[in-house]
Amino acid sequence: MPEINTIIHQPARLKIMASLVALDPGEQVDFVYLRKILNLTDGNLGAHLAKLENAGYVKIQKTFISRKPRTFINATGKGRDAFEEHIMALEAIIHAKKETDK
Amino acid sequence: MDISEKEAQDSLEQIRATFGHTKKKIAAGSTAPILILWGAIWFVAYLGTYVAYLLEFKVYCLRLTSSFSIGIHVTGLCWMVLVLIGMAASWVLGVKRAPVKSPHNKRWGFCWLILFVYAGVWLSLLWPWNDYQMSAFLASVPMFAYVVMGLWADRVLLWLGIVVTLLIIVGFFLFHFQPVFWLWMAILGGGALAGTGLYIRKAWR
Repeated sequence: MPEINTIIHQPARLKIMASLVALDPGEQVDFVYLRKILNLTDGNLGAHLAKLENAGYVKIQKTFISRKPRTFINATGKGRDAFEEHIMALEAIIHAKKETDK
Repeated sequence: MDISEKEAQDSLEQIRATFGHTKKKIAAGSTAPILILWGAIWFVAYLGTYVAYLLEFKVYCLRLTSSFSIGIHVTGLCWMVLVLIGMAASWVLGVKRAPVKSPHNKRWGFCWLILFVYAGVWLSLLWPWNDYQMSAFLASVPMFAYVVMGLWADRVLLWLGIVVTLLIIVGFFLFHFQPVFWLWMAILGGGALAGTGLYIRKAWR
């Protein structure tokens, strides 16, 4: 039985993971662009990304492009699996409720 | 961790919405600026061509000289410069400054380069052609790419490619050998590209 992932379930982190999983594997999104997509502040996004990085769900890569620092983020394989399991857990709760209502 | 059915439903809804929103934002971020750029280039270059041909036509009608084509040669040079600027700017927007770093970005860039190299090869094989035929052919090349890209990525590109290709064909046969063809291409061709770019930027924000 899939279980609810407490790290991912937090609303902001849920949105972050949904955004990162929307990218194809191998693709990385710019930190500033992700912040705009999710309408979060720098500090808020940074703090949530740090938690997800500690869990091994995202990879944060700092680089220089044309001498300007840029940060790119992507969901790891472990993160994608955990997110998928979290969705299955949510669907299982809805399914179980429907079964008991019958 | 126990959560209610309502909370689970809301979370799934949030995931779906964020997923779709991200896909659209990323597509808008990388596609819209390039469409606006090329729409502007088409507009300026075709309008310039129209003016040059119109002037030459007037000069020819006034029988001042039948070989006054300096304006057209200058237009050809301007086209080359604008296309080179457009290609360099597209590379910057689509690869260097792209909001999403993808292993496919560079490959897409090279695909476009190869496509135009082949377009040049086909043009040399199809010689002789007139300016109208060459222009309609070269304008249809990126539209062919948009249609193919639209099949894999955004449907907007598919429809944009089909519509502009139809506009090229209609304009070509309707105004064949008439300078108004360039005006048609400037307003409808350039307008369609830039308009779609602006629409994507606004609607998918």
